[in-house]
Amino acid sequence: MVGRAQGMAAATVTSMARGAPQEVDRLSERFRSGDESALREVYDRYGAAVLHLALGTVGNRSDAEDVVQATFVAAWTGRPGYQPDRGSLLAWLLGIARRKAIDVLRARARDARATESARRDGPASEAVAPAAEHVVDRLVVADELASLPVEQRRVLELAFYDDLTHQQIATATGLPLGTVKSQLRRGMARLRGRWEVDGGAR
Amino acid sequence: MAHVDPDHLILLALGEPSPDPADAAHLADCRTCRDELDATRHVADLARDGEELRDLPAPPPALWDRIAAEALGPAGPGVRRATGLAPAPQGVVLPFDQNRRRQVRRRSVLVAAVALLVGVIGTVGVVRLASGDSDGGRVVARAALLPPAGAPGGAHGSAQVIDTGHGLQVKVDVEGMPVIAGYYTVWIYDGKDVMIPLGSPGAAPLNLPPAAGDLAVFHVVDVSAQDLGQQQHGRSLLQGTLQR
Repeated sequence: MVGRAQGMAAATVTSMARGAPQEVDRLSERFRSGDESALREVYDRYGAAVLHLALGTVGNRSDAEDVVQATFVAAWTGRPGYQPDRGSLLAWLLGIARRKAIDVLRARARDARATESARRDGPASEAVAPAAEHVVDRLVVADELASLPVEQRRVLELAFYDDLTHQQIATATGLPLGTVKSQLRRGMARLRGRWEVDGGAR
Repeated sequence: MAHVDPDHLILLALGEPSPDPADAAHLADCRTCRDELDATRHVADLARDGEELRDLPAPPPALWDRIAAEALGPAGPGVRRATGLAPAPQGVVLPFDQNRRRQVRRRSVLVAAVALLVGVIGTVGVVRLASGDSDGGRVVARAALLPPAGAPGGAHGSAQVIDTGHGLQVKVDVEGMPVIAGYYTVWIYDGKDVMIPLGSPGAAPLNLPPAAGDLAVFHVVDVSAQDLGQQQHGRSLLQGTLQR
């Protein structure tokens, strides 16, 4: 056991799953065509992102999980309504999740009015909308970043998370300066394109 | 008048100075370039803010059962049985990449300090590999950890897998660990060929990644000795099989 474990390539996992765009396209297509195993794969890939949005919007875990459930069930039954040319599957799911979350907030406000208690249970749905929009933008940009070719992603992550200059990135990675610049440019163009299609720029 | 070079705009958006001092004057006059810079900068900021999104906790396993029951009905047990591992070979489980290595390197400075401390304390007692109590969580599996063949004797420990209601976490306590130059790492292991590092000593409990959430598959907890900067699994010091 020890011997087998030694020298074995380790694996790492992210919940914002990485995958080539074509792979995601194929998954979306299978989902749309009603392949039940695709529902599970879509959930594995995006369930955590939907839950994150829901938690940030409705504020408590139990309601957030209800939102996730309602979102995936609605997405499954309404799958013919997903139009790939209008945005990514993730953005579509997040759009459904936002509406479901706002339904929860409205129901809460109704209950609060019915019991004459002030709305201390959470923010009003109108106030939540811009915040949720920002979360959606971050999620789709993070998803796009995760799907970039590995070198492009690495260069951008060093710039974003480690605050390295392009010269420092070249030193850290051993890539020529020109390559770093072109990878930054191409990677940023992909993120920008995705944000324009899926995000608040619409 | 020529617009700002696209490469320069990217650098500016990322917070670097432009290599061309004339860019500033051009930007002051040119609405097109300014809008372009603003939009690029906005996207860069969104990406920066998204760092925490890289390791979002998976929804609790029971949530999938509810979705499957409602969306697919009682039929489709095959789908429900297919736990998070099905898509793994295509995209979820990745080989250790450069970026991860950086994180490990960064973390190892801290870990080296902890290892040093452990050395000072010697065999005094318990090293808590995952802190935090199981507040509200439910223990779904346990393992007694013992030295595998070839590892130094005397060490022992225990692992608990806790369902927090928002993902699984692993808590590992060890005792009598040998003093090592590097640091200890906890791994979840399928007993065959996939080992996933969960983390090192620290204040946070160890999150079990969603792709390793099927404990029928990932049923072994391993604690290894790692050399500084070592990315692959080092030497097993403790190992145990999870009992559910």
